[in-house]
Amino acid sequence: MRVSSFVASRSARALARFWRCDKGVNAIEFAFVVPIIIAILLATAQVGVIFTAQAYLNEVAETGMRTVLTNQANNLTQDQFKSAICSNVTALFNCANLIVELEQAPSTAASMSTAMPQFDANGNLTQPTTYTLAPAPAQMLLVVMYQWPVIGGPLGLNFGSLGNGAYLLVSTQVFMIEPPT
Amino acid sequence: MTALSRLRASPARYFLDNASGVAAVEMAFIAPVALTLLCVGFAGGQTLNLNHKVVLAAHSTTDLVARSIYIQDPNNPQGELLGYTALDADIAFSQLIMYPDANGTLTEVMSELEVNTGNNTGVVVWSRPSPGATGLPIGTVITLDPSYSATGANYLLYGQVNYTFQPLGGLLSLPPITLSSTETLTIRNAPQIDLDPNS
Repeated sequence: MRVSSFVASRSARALARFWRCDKGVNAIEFAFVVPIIIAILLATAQVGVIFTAQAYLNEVAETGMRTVLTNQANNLTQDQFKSAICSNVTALFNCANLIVELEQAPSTAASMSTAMPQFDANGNLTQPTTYTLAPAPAQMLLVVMYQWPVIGGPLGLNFGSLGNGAYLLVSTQVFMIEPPT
Repeated sequence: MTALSRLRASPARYFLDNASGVAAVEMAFIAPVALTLLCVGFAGGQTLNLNHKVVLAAHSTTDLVARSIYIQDPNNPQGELLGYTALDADIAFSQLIMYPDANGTLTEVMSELEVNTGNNTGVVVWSRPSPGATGLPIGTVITLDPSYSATGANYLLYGQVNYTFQPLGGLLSLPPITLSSTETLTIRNAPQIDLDPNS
C-alpha cells in the first residue's frame, strides 16, 4: 500500500513537472508545423516540374509529328519510330515509359472518343498502342503520353490523375501528311 | 504570482507577454500566403498549358480544313467541295488536342470569309459550329490584319476555338477562365471552299 501510494505520488509529480516544463517547446511546435511546410514545398516544386515536363513533351511530340509529316517515318517500324522520338528526349523522361500512338485520324466526329489510348483503374493501358502509317495526304493522329510519377506529400496533397497515382502528361498532334516530292 | 492569477488580473497583458506557440502562430500567418502561392502557381501552369492546346487546336483544325482534298464543285469553277461529315470531323479534332482536359467547355466555329481588300475586312460566307456552339451569322464583317489582303486571296478560313474551364478543378471558388484563339489561313487547294449539302 505504501509502495503504491509512493509510486502514484511520484508519477503525479513527474507529470506536473512535465506540464510546467517549457524546454524543447520550439521543437514540439516545429513538429506540428513541419508537415504543413513539407507539403507546401513539395507540392510547389512538383507543380513547377510537372508543367515544365508538359512543355517539354509538347516539343517532343511536335518533332515526332514533323518526322511523319515530312515522310521521314515511312520506312520506320513502331520501335524505330519510338526510338526516333526518344532521341529528342535528353532529360526528364525515361524513354521506356513514353507512350507513343500513331494512327490515321478518325473520319467522323462521333468516333473521336475512342481514338485516344485508355487506362484502367491501375493506370495500365487497356489496349496496346497502335502504329499505322497511311500514305499522303492522309490525316494522322500522333499521341505522346507520359505517366509522370508524383510524390504524394503529407496532408493528402497529391496531383496524381491516374489510378496508380501518376499525373498523365499528354500531347496530341493532328496533321496531314505532305505528298512526297 | 501564478500564471492563472496573471491571466485573471490582465488577460490582454498575459496574452501579449506569452511566447508559447509562437511557431504555430507564425505558421498561421505564413500558411495562407504559401498556399495562395501554390494555388496561383498551379492555376497559372494549368492555364498556360491549356492555352498552348487551344492555340494548337485552332491552328491544326483550320489548317486541316484549308488543306482539304480537292473535289471540284460542279457549280463553281473556283470552288472545291467539302462535305459536312469531313468538316465536322476536322472541327472535332480539337477535342483530341485538348485531351485529357475534358472538364471544361470546348467550342469551335469554322467559317469562310470573303476578303474585302478595300477596307481589310472579311465577310462571312458560311460558318459551321461544333455541337453546343453558335456559328457566325452569314454576312458578319470581321476585321482582318492588312497582311491577309496582301496575300491576294479572295477567300480565307477563319477558325475560332474557345475553352472555358474552372481553375484548380473547382477546388477553390475561383471564377471560370475562358481561353480563346483564332486562326486565319488561306485555302490551299482552291480559291474557295463550298460546303457540299449532300454529304
